[in-house]
Amino acid sequence: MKTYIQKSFSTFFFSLLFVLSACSHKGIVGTVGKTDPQDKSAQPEVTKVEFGGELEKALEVVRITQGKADGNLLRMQVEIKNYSSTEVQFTHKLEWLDDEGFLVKDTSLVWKALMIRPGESKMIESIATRPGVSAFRLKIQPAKNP
Amino acid sequence: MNRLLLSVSLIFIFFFFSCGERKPVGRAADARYLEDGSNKGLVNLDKINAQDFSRAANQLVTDLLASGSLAEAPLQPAILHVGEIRNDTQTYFDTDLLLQGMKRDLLASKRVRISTTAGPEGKIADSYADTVRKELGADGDKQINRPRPYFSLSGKIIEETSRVEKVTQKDFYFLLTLTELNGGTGVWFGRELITKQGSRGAIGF
Repeated sequence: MKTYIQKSFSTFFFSLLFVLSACSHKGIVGTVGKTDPQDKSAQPEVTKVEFGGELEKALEVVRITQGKADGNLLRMQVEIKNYSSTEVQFTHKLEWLDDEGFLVKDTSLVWKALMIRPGESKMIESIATRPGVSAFRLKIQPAKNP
Repeated sequence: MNRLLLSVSLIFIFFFFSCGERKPVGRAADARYLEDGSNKGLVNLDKINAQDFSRAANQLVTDLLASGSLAEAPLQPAILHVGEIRNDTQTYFDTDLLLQGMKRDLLASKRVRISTTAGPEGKIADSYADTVRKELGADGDKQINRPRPYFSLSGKIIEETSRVEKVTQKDFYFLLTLTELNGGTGVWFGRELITKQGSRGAIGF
């Protein structure tokens, strides 16, 4: 009887542990940006603030490239590489910030899905739709339906 | 004594629950608000969802700005006429769900000004403004200027369906063309593809 209770408890404990660990990464958002938001050089230094637990092990930001498009519109490109041995599905959202640090509300404020195969790198690129934009933040989150 | 205890208990329970949060009786209430562009919205296989319109609009505007076509107009910002975007999918929706976001971004970029009084009869965005302008123009009002559009934007949205066993794939093509009116030629051909695959819809992605 005692062994049965011990077994039941162990099963329950490990099930709970599994459920908790499976759900633990949900909702964590990784943010990638420039170390200095006002850095206007072509390849600014990359900074990473938080990263989804699972994604940090698999993905790495190789470089950020920025420039101007059509005169005075900030153009950016972030290269992300998958260093893991499995394909990675994630969603990302880009936030543009103007010279005063205010968030620009345009159509870029939408989560987009992306998949990267093992060893592959992909570019996420965009152009700001406002002339006064000088910085950006790229948010990355694990996909819900991988 | 027991009766007194029971009465006190009942009164205590009544006050305890009456001060609590009001919840509907029956099934748990789960209606909530989602932010614009959220990744927790519904994903339907057979229709274009809100996040798809935003994504398509953003990608098309980015592509249009990157092409530099708008900068070719001799007068900046150029006047843009937004024409008809045909919905060739199996579901009804207003194409302004795509266009309004694009218009806002294009206007904010200061590369174009968007005409709301030019277009074929019956398809003018603001018919009241057009009528007033015509009347004032006929009266010889000098403040009414008539800059004609330099570009016209038109296009269509196409849906393609493929199935393998129980898995369905829906491809939604957003095809836009920017025409330079003087030459009558297309100067930008935008294409954005949104593909969804699965056996049934999902909540979030």
